[in-house]
Amino acid sequence: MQVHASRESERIRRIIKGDAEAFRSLVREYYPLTFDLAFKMLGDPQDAEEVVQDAFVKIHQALGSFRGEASLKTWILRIVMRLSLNRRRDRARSAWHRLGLNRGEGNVSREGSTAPLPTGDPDPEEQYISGETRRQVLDLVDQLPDPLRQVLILNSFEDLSYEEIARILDIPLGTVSSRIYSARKKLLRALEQRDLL
Amino acid sequence: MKAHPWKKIRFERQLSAYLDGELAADEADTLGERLVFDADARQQLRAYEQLDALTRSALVPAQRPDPEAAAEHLLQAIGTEKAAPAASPETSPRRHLGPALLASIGLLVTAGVALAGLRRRGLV
Repeated sequence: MQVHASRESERIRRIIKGDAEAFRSLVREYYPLTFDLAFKMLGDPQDAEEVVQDAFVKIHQALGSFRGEASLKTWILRIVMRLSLNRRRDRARSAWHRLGLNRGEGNVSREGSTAPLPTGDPDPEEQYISGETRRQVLDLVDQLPDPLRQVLILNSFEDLSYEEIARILDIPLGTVSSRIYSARKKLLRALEQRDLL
Repeated sequence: MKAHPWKKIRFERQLSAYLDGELAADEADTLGERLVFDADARQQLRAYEQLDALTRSALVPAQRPDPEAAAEHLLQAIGTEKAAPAASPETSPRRHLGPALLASIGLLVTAGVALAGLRRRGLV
């Protein structure tokens, strides 16, 4: 753990000094996680990609102010979460999205595309449900109140603990637990009503 | 016999945390024992497990961009951004125009007041 922390701070020091290779390794390591978070928050791959790119530019600029109170992963996810929320808010104001016109080709997940991942075998979870079920589940997740949706999405990353979720969202640990429970309960009821579970 | 609603809520909340491996060891042991004998509790736990599998599977992106290409793109963007201020010299003089203008106005006003004072005293 301590070895990891010192390696991390060494990488940060190198990035601040302008070492492109160190920054490249940071992007390589965190891009999949950050893209997944942005995608889960926004449901649109293009929006997610833009948010993540924006996040890494901000991370590069602000790395000097990273104090190490939280882990680098938590700090990065906080930035991505905040930018995703901003994007979601802006999108809600856009007539294009209000009318549902964004659900075109680019929105692969909501349209239930079974396009394989570019590398490796498709995730087994990917094939677990049909396109129509997926669309309905995503709609229900989307309809959850924001605080419940956020914890549900973060909790869908198996390697994120309640403590890390609490740090990312800046809320007490007990609140994370109760929100996850409420989100599950609400979603379960809604899915049962639609005979999806 | 039905449990009090608050007890039911507390239990379900514990079950939710148990599923995530977030219960304290002693609480997890107690709950684990209860699950052996309580069919309703087992059913509730199974429902949460199915719900998680369904939502996780729905939320997985169908495609992910290549991190290597993204890193390359970002390095280019950051390089451009760093170079940008030096490439636009017209931005910096403008930033200093305000204070310079104010200083000039200040000097003119001081000179005007001094001249008026000298005139009043008939020295000019």
